[in-house]
Amino acid sequence: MTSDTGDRETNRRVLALEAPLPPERLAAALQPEGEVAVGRAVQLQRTYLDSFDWRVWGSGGRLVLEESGGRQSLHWHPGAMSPVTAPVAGTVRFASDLPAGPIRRDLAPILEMRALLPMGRVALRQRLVRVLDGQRKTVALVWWEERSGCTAIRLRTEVLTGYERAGEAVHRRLLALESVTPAGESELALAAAEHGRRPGDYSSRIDLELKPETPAGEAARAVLRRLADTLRANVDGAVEDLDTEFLHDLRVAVRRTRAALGQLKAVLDPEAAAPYVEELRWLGNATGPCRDLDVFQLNVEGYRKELAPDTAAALQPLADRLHHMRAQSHRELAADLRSRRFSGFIKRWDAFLDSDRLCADTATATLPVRSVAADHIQRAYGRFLNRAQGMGPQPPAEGMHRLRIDAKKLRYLLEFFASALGKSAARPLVRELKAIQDTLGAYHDLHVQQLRLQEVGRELLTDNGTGADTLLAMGRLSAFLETRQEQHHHDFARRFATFSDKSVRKAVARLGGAGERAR
Amino acid sequence: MRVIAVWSIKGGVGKTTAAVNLAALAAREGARALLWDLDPQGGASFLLRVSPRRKASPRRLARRSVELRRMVRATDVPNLDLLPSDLTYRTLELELNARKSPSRRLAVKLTPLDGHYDWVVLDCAPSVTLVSEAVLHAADDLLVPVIPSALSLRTLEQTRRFIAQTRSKAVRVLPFLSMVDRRRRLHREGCERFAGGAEGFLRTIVPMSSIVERAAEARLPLFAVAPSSRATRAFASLWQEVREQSASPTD
Repeated sequence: MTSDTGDRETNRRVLALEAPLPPERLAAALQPEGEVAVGRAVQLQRTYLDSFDWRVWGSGGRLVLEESGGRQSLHWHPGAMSPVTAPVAGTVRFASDLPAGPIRRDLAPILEMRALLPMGRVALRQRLVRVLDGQRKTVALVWWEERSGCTAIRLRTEVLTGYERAGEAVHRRLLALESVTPAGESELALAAAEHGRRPGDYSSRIDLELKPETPAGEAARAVLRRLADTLRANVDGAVEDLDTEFLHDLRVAVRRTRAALGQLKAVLDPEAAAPYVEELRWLGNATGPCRDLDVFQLNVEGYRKELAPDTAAALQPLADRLHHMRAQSHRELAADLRSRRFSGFIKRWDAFLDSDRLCADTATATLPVRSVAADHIQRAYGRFLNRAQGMGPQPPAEGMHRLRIDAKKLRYLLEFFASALGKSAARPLVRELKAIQDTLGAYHDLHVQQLRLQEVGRELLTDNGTGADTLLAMGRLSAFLETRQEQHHHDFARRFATFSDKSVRKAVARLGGAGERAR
Repeated sequence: MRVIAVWSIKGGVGKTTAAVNLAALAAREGARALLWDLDPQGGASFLLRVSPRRKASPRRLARRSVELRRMVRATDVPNLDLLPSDLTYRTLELELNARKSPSRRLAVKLTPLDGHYDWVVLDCAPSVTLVSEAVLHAADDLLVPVIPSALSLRTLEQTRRFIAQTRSKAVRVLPFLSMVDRRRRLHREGCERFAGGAEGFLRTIVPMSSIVERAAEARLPLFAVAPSSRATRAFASLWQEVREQSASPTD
């Protein structure tokens, strides 16, 4: 994880003032570098925007919305290039709301479907101090910034392209002043802390640091705790429908938890866990329909671009109906996530994870996690291979779905215990599995979408307002989805050949280390 | 990255004003823009108060191994950088001539900037030289300011012939009426003749305006001096048209 101490904007550095230094005195101190112009004071609201999982920060950049005098401007500081500024009108929530140009171009692939959220806000009084050359051209910039409600002053110096020497000289001169020191923590980190956040504090990845010799029971508890944290972190966003990934991450946390409880029965007490397994199944079912519709909605726009324009246009009633169904489905989901059943489950589950009842009273729970994990993974891998090899050339969708679930269980085990198994050993397997799973996932999504198309088709047929062109277009879309599904089946066969290869079998067999086997 | 050359064989038609203001308008919208002052008179550099770096000689500039980015300087307009010029640029012709494929050299020099800038605006000297030829090879669009006068219209025809002679790949020629004084009969007739985009002209008519002189004196883009003046609005409309005409590089 990248450190967030100090300022990471490529051409800007931030200094902290330990004692008050009025801008006029600052200007006097900079006089030897050239003529100094001090701008008027401006009241400013600065908001740091990022996705819930810190994608902007993770890319090495910062996205800042500044509001002053009723005007808004976005400031994009990419990690490796000079910053860029653009005026904005209205709310910026998704990448598509960003102004056309470099800001949208850079951030759209980073954000994907994630919403931009305010991660920290700062109210400031700002004055711009400019150092000028003989032509009265700015050669260095210093922003003098005083946070509202506190006496702390920060100086932001900016080195301008082509004027690096002047910028460095100004920076050095400021540093030489008494009471000026490089700012410790970044303004983003300070502002985010006020919202109870820390840059990089959330990731849906299981990035636990488990030691190979950690007892398996303790390791399983750590995994389940992490998953419970992820689940809880996504509830509000899913209820408020901030973006589709809250529900996605919540569902993945539920699925991983169910997989852990199902796969680690030798370590966890299955009897004690039984009521929670039931509740997790309920949660999985409650979150499924909305997620399926999210995926269909996200995909359908892409499908429309690939179909003939008249077909794409005729599919608008389908898009509208999906939107309507999704809104209804989300209302039901939100009700479930606000229900007593859910809050009660979360409370009991948290208590259970802290209790002694979680782990089975077996020798396996006390064995080193590396050997136990390797053993479970090897068996899960064997099950996956058997199922895949047992399927004929034209397997039913249900068979492919079962295979997908097996692949997921295997991948989750690898991810849970990657640190204990050695990341270099686990990661290539995870990568291969991810590719297989993507193919199986796409295959399954297409199957669900075809069923949904039939359902919507029947509904639209009874709707007098639906034209024949829409129903015909849906038929064409269904055929398109079927062709896609075929392609994914072929892809799977190709990927499976690699994943069942002798070298992968050997790599799986080596996971626990020589001579270390739980059973 | 889209390269627009503001180009005319004739001098005094408002090339530099157009180049500076269009580049500044692109930058103001949030695009990364670079203005390359190719005129030894250094008008654009003067307007933006930027002098060339000491090491940015035409000789170094013509060298394939020297990156243009090392010669770029930030202007006081956010998102707008400048490759400044001065009288030493008069030797650029000789320096290009001393290299292989001189007419393609500017295009080659610009290639590494793709990805760094959305728009590059070339402010060209009023001449027909090897540098002009190199500009034709580098540019996607050729924006030609035309004063509604016989001489200026004649140079537009010369420009088209010159392109036909020198250019292998098509460059889009976008003439527009510049420095129009409606008190003059000839100008009014010119406006009528090219109204609504006739004969390939852009629809925008840039008026003769004292605001342009005021902005030059203040050494600022028009929108910073007189945001709602007729001339400022005309350049905003011209930029809109140019952007629409070009395949947008920003989406």
